This record gives sequence, C-alpha cells and structure tokens, in this order.
Amino acid sequence: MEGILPYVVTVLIVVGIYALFALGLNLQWGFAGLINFGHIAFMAIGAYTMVILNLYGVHWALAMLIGLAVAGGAGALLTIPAIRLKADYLAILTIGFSEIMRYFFLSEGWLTGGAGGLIGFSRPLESIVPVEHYDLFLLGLIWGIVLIAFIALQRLAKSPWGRALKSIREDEDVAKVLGKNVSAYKMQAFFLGSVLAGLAGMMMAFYHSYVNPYYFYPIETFYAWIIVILGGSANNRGTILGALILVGVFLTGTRFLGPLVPLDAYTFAQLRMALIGVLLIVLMLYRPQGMLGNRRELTF
Amino acid sequence: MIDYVITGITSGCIIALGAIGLTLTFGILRFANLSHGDLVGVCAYIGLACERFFYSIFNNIYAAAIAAAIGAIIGGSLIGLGFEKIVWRPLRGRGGSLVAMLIVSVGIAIASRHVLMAIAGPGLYFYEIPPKIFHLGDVRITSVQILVVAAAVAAMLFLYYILQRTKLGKAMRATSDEPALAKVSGIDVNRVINWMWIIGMGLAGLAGFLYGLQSALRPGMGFYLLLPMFAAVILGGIGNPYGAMLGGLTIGLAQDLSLIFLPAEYKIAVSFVVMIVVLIFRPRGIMGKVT
Amino acid sequence: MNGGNEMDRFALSVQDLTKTFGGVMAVDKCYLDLKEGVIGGLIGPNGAGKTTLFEVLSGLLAPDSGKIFLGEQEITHVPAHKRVSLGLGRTFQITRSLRKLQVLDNLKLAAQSQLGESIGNVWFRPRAVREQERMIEDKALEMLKFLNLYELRDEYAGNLSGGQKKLLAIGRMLMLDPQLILMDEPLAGVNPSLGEEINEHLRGLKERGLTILVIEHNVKNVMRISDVVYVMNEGKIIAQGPPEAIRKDEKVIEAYLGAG
Repeated sequence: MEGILPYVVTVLIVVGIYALFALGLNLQWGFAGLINFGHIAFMAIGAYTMVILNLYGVHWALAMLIGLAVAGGAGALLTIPAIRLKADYLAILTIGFSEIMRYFFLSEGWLTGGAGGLIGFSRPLESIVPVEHYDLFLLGLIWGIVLIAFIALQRLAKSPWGRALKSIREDEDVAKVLGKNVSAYKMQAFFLGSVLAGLAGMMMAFYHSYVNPYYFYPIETFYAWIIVILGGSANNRGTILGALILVGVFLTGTRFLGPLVPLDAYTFAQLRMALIGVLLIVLMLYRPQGMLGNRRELTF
Repeated sequence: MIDYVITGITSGCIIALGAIGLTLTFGILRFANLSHGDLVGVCAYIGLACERFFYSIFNNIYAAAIAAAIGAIIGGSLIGLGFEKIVWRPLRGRGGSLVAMLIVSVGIAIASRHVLMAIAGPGLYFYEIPPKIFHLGDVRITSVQILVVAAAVAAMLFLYYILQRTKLGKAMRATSDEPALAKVSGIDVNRVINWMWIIGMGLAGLAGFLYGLQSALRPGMGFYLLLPMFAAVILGGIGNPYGAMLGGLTIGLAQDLSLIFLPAEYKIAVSFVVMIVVLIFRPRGIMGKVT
Repeated sequence: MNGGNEMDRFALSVQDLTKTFGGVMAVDKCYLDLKEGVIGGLIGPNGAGKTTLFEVLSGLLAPDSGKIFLGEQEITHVPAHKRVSLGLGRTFQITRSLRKLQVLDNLKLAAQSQLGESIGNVWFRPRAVREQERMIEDKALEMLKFLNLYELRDEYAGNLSGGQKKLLAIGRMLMLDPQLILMDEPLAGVNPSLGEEINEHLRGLKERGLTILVIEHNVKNVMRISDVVYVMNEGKIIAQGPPEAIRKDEKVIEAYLGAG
C-alpha cells in the first residue's frame, strides 16, 4: 500500500494542475467562444513571473499575486488586436504568441535562466510544512484552489454575466443591440482564463521546484483543448472529469503500458502525443459534444 | 547585408510556395489550415527518403535529388487528397463549423508531426549534395539557392498557367470568389476541392523538399514555417495566390533583413508583427481577392 | 434641422449619411428626420439601402461620412451597445432569436443596468444580484404574458415557431425600455392575424410616447400604420410625407416601376 500512495498523489497533483489550466480555457472557449490556441503562454507567464520575483526576494504570496495580474493582463492585451478578428486569425495569432513567448523564455537567459530554467525559489508555507509531507500539502492546496475556481466559475456561468457571454457566443450583433459591450466581455473572459492558466503554472512550478521552457510547448495547449472538448465545452464539471481521464489515462497508461510495449521511450512518447492529434480529429468528427456536453447548446 | 537579401529571397520563395496552398484552402474552403506547416515538414522527409532510396540504387546524387523532389511533390498531393477523403469531406458532410475545422487541422498537425518524429527520430538530416558556390563581386550565391529560386519561379509560372488558362483554374477562382454562385453555375465543387488539395499540397511538397535541401531536416521544421506562411497569406490578401507569392517573398526578406538588428530567435516575431499590423490596418492585405 | 424648435423635436435625425457596402454605395448622402412620438414607415424597392441604413443607425456598421442624432445627442461614433442605453432599440429583418437560450432568458438578457453583469458583483454582492434578478424576472414574465408566450418561457428559443420568434424579438427589444425603435420588416412572413396583433402593439407603443421607424415591404401595411412615410431609393430618401401624398407621388411610382 505504501508504494502506491505517492504515485496516486503525483497523478492527482498533475490532474489538478491540468484541471485548473483547462478550466481557464473552458471559460474562454466554452463560455466566451474565443479560440485560444496559445493558452500555454499564460501558464508560462504566470509561472516565470512568480519564480523570477520570488528569486529577487519577493514573498511567494505577493509574487503569486503579481504573476496572476501579469498573466491576466497579457491575456487582456492580446484581445485588443484579436477582438475584431474571425476565429481563424485569433487562432493563428494565439499560436504565434505562445511560440514567441517560448522563444523569449528560451533565449533571455539573463532573466529566465534560458534552457536551464530556474530553481531555488521559495514555496508556500515551506517553513511550516515538513518536507516529507509537502507533496500532500500541495495536493490539498491545488485541489482547494480548483474547488474555489470551480465554484467561482459556476457562479459566473449561471449569472447575468454568464448569460450575456452566452449570447455573445451565439450572436454578437444581437448582444450589441441589446446593450452588451462585447469587447469588454471578451476581454474579461480572456483575462480570467489567463489568470487561471497562470495559477496552474505556478502550482506546476511549486510541484517541480523548477521551471524551464520545456514545460511550455504548444502541445500543452491542446491537452487542455482535449480536456475541454472531452468534458463537454462550457461544462466545468466535465472539464475536471476530462482532466482526470486524460491525465489519469495518459500517466497511468504510460507507466504501466510503457514497459510492455516494444518501443523505446522516445518513440513511445512521440506516439503518445500523436494520439492527442488523432483524438482531436476523432472527437470533432464523431463526438464534438464530448461526454457531458449538451448537444443542443453546441457551437461547433 | 546583400547576403541577407539573398537568403531572404531564397527562404521567401520557400515560404511563398507553402503559402500558395494555404491561401487556396483559405479561399476555397474558407478556413485556416493549421496543419499546412507540419505537412510541409512531412513532405520534406518523404523527399529525403526518396533521395536516400534512389541513391542507394542508382548512386547518382543528382538523379536522387530529382527523385526526392518528385517524391515530395507527389507525396504532398497524395497526403492532401488522402486527408480530404478521410477527414475533410466527412467533416463538411456533418456540418463541421469553422472552429471544428480549425481544431481538426490542429489534430492533423500534431498527429503528423509526432508520427514523423517517432519514425525519423529527433536528430538532424542533411542532403549530402556539395553545393557549388558562385561569386559575383562580394556577393556569394550557392547553387542550392539558385535552384530554390528557379524551382519556385517555375512552380509559380505553372500555377499562373493553370489558374488563368485552364478551365480548372477558372473554376477554382470562381469557387474562391463566389462559392454559392459557382455551385449554381454547374461547377463541380468537389472536383475543384480535390484539385485544390493536389495543387496546393503538391506545391507544399516542393516547398518541403527545397526547405530540406536548403537548410536541414529537423523535427518541427514545418511548424516553424507556419507563422511566416500565414503572415504571407494575410499580407498578400486571403485567397489570392499571387498575393501569397508576393507576401512570401516579402516575409522572407523582412525576416532575414531583421537579422541585421535582431537576434536570430526572434525572426519569427517579424512575421507575427507583420501579421498584426496588416490585420489592424489593412485586413484585406495588399492584393485582396483575385477577381 | 436639428432640435432647436420645441414644436418639432426630432427623435432621430440623419444628415448626409453615406455608407459603401459590398462595393455599392448603399446609403448615399441620406437625410432623414423623424419627429418624436410618430410611427415612420420606410419603404423602397429592393436594394434601396434600407437595411444598410438600419445597420448604420444601430451602430453595427460605421458610416463613411455624415451624422446621426438621437434627439439632441450625436451618436455617429457611439458604439452600438452604448446607443442602447441612450434609448435605441432594433429588431432584425430575419429574426435573430438566441436559439440556444431559453425564452425567459432571452428576455432577461435584455434588461439594462444589470448588477449581475459585473464579475465583482456576482462574486461579492450575490444578494443584491439575486434581488435584481428577481425583479427582472418579474418584468420578463409580465412581458411574456402580454405577448401570450408565457407557457413557452422555459422552451429553447430555437424551438419556437416563426411567429412566436417574431413576438419574442419584439418583447426582447421592449425590455430595453427604448425611446426610439427601429423595426426591420416586423410583419414579414407573419400570418394576417398575428400581423394585426403586431400592428396593435405598435400603436400602443406610440401611445406610450415611443418613436418607431419601420421598414416595410408591404406598401399597404405601411400606409395603414404610418403617420409619415419615407421612400428610399438607391441610397437616398427621394420622398417623404403623409401616406396619401406618397401614394400619389410620381417620383415614388417611378422608383418602384423603374426598379421593377
């Protein structure tokens, strides 16, 4: 029994991080109908900002707060050129942005540690929680945050704000002639979604005690997309469930199936990622509403 | 600086060839095909595989290179047609929306890139053709660069001929400009779409081959081209193949000239900035739609 | 021309408005003045630019040049959603109900100044939001009863019949508490009894002091309901006046025959 607990804790921590990440995307895509193909950039911005401030001596709590503001702000800023654009342009713009951010983190070594990344930053309540139980503490912290985020998002979804967003997603012009400031709503949704991504990034940094550009490849964004689609767009419960399934299956599958399959680690990892691509295609062709999605409210 | 102009024109030609297929898809199917970059990469590797195979049989490096080019082009066309049959047509049949097509194209991009990496591995590959170097005064030009430009020009002339002088080309232009009208006037839209993939992806295959010839084959090479190709398409005007050619050359030049004052990692940022500027100030690009 | 004279206050004033759309000058130096508290009918042959004019008036399209006044206030560059709070409401020619929202939600959506539309209020002042929601819901339910749509309140708007969707669109617009209403072919595709019901609603609104500008294709309808008729052709208002005068106006007849 003792052997399996740390593994379960690990999986659940990763599930929690991806759940948070995907909840942010769900707000942007599921609720606001914004195509964000660069979501990972905001995870990176949140993580790096917090770590860098932290290493400069800022208290971890303040560093987190500032990091969230920066991540959210970056998201809001991106909506300015993007807001009038059709989905295609937003898609390519966000991809471009996330790649440029990755290059930035890779090359500006003086700030970001370059390819080597950054270590040695302080973590929440490190002095109080004993080292051997820190992972458990982190698990509680992450899932506590997921719970709060979930409640907050559900409240928003059922509120007049959420209703306005739904109308924008379906028909922007109607929303406008009903008095809704469409740009403001989109910006708010993008801001909040990016804040959640940034928060997820910080949790990941705390978990690994390490941050580096290789955590932030574009494919991470599409893990979140699969999670959101799988769970049913605009369904927050589904998003969390999707995170559990995707991460759980992937991690567990890799760990237990991996040794059985006659492929080396690299090939296996590549095929795993290729599977993500195939999954996206199959989902869109055969079950765009995912598991818990509402067929009637589908916007695909 | 002249060196940058030359490399800029060379890479601009490659970007242009890729951008043509992208803009055709934009114009006829009306969506941004995000898989285009990675498929250019796949074709590059197909080309290399043909080269190695033919070299091992015939031991002639030039024949092998020609085989590589042909292989990449045909491979590209077959891939384009293949995805049309298995993915795009069924998706359109189910009423796939713009967003669904975007996501599917990402799926194709991811799947093809990682299958390619699983097969080919993470290392670099090179064509082992020793380039001949020419000197015009201070200026240094390699045979490969000349070949790239020559091939690109030939391909673009070929495209011009098809678009302006054949019935198919007229049909393609009509479908791109006025799809509803095209259908009503008896144009077989499915046939136009098939040929769009064949031509567009064939050119993408050529782009891949030339790209591999000119630099090196590495995983993610295709994806690296995606942003510049899109910038070229948007700059030139969506749906306009001539605009894409012009846009491609411009982007290639702009990116390489930027090396004068920007570190190499941010070459891509140039495309990004051009794209944003165009989208904000002149969304229809330089040439708008072909009439 | 605008708002100086107490006797003739204009609810809407359009001056020298031009809009090129789809390569055509859809609105061409258009002038239109609509007095307060009247029903104006906007007619004209197909392609005259009527709907484009509405798009510009409601703020969904920006004019190339010219000015628009809502009462005393210039709204030429005011964004569409702000024009709503200034009292402007509109419906669309092809009814655009929000099909994925329920009927009641469609109406509640239209209420103005909702506390619950601010994230801060949703999270930190839930009670105030809930109270206001209750009031909005009461108002919306009243509207539904008035329109005879009460039983369909939980139905998805997409499941309604064409006529019901039309009523829903009107009700939704009325929830805005507008002063000036732009209605694009409210009677299009509607059976005669429902059509008369809608006309009655319009008359009732006029009595409450609203100003209405209606695009109508059916010239008979327009003559019945309008106090003043504007005739638009090729982007310009070529005639305006009381219905009887318009009926006999040569320019108007020529425009319709010419556009044939």
